[in-house]
Amino acid sequence: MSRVSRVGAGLGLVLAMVVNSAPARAQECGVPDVDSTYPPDAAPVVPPNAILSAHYSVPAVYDGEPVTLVSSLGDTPAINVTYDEAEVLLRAVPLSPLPAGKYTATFPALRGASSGPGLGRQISFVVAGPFDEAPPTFAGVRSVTWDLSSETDPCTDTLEDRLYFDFELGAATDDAATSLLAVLVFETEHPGSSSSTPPQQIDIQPLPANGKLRVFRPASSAGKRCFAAVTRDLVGFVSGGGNAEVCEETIEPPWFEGCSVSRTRSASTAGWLLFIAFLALGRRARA
Amino acid sequence: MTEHGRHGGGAIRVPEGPNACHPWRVRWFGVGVLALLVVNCGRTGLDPYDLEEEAIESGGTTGNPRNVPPIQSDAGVDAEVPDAEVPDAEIPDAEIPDAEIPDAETPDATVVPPDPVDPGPDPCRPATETCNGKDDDCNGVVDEIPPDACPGGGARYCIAGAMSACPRACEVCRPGGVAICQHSICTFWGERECAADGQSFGSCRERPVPSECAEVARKHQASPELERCCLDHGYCCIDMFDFDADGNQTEFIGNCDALRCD
Repeated sequence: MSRVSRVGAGLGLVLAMVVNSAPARAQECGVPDVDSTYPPDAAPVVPPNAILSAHYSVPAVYDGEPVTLVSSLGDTPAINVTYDEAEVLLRAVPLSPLPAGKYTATFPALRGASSGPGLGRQISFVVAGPFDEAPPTFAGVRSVTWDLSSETDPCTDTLEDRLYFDFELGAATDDAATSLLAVLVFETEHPGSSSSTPPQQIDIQPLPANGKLRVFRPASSAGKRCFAAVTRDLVGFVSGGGNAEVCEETIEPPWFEGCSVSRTRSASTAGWLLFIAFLALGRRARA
Repeated sequence: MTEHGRHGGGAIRVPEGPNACHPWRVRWFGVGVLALLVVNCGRTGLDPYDLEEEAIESGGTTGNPRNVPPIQSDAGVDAEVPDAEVPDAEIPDAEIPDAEIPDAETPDATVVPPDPVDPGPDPCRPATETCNGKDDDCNGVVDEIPPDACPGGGARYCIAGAMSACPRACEVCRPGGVAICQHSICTFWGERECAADGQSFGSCRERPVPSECAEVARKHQASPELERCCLDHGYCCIDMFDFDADGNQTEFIGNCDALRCD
């Protein structure tokens, strides 16, 4: 075997092993990144009495980092910034209604309890139209399906099992645009709950335009799980719809531990392709 | 080419000459395949991608494994009994009592007349709206109860006829937080890291025992003494020996502020 082909095959093998053994990290462990804002970026019609907020992906530590709000004319309206520890929301409340115009808000990067700072976010939006003075209406959750997910967790570096629930949401209306609404998802029953266990808020997400919402839950216990949801507008008005409850009976994941040639991970596939490519390269180099 | 053998009609041919497959090439390929098999070791089985593919292949819907299309009530009968063999023709019309055949053209006969004493549904009597899954104030909306602010942030909402609990920043633990566990071998000291979504802990991973507890670990191994050392030196420790006597050996105790959700 020539030196070139030997090096090529070796390099291919090493690269294939690296690609196969180190799945891509979608996120860093425990780092709070802004994952959604209210209003969303580029919102065209935001009511003058809106409260601006950013949701962080994991609980953050707030040390008084400022939120900046600047109009296209260069004005900086006075805002009161508070961090809601329970909902992991950083809120900026304008002290007076915002004049019509275009604005840019910048939410800061915050650090986690055991991590460095994550990513902040800058959004632009247009304040226009009337005040938001009425609560939204919402038909609630219509249906739910569930499935299993097993992804490599960036903190534990192992596969973590989760159940994911896909919800079909009912129609929502508001006196401002429905794209400004947040959905608050509640778990009303789970395998460890009793009749006296109160519903627990488990997620906040922007109201999806297609009415489909996904929520992840622990896969450690199987049994009946029920859910409900309400919507909340930029002023804090909350809709009805929380009485529409949907339930599913989950089952234990049929996992087993063992060795096999995996076919499911794109990283693994990439590793195989890389290895085969380098083998082919080695053959060509020899020819 | 030289034919070396046959298996089930297929021939294995080994090239000769300049392109011959030398033993060391076979070895390299084998080493590569073995290495890939080793790095692919792990958990396998039901996977969402597999489920989705299987569902698509079978023409079903993705998602819930229990989403089996309902079986038509007459599907089996139709399949096994051809229409021509249905013995309808063997029953003379005269043998069927008239009273058992409903007259399709006179549907009035099947309608139960309304009970003259039944007043119908109770008229709504307006009352103060409470969180009970009912429209107490008769305005057509169920449970329009304003949110009740929580002291630690968030609020309680009327959901499914009950007020929700105050929200928590995380479910089980703060993502990235670490609790000390005891390993049964080697250093007897380990760490369990909270998952990125805060919904579970990872498994106990062996770590070097810190110097302040090294002697205890060497002498007592995994033991209540080692848990005491863990607690005394300011760690957040898994309560494997139930120091707080609450029957829970999986909770974490000690200096756990960076880990707790509340």
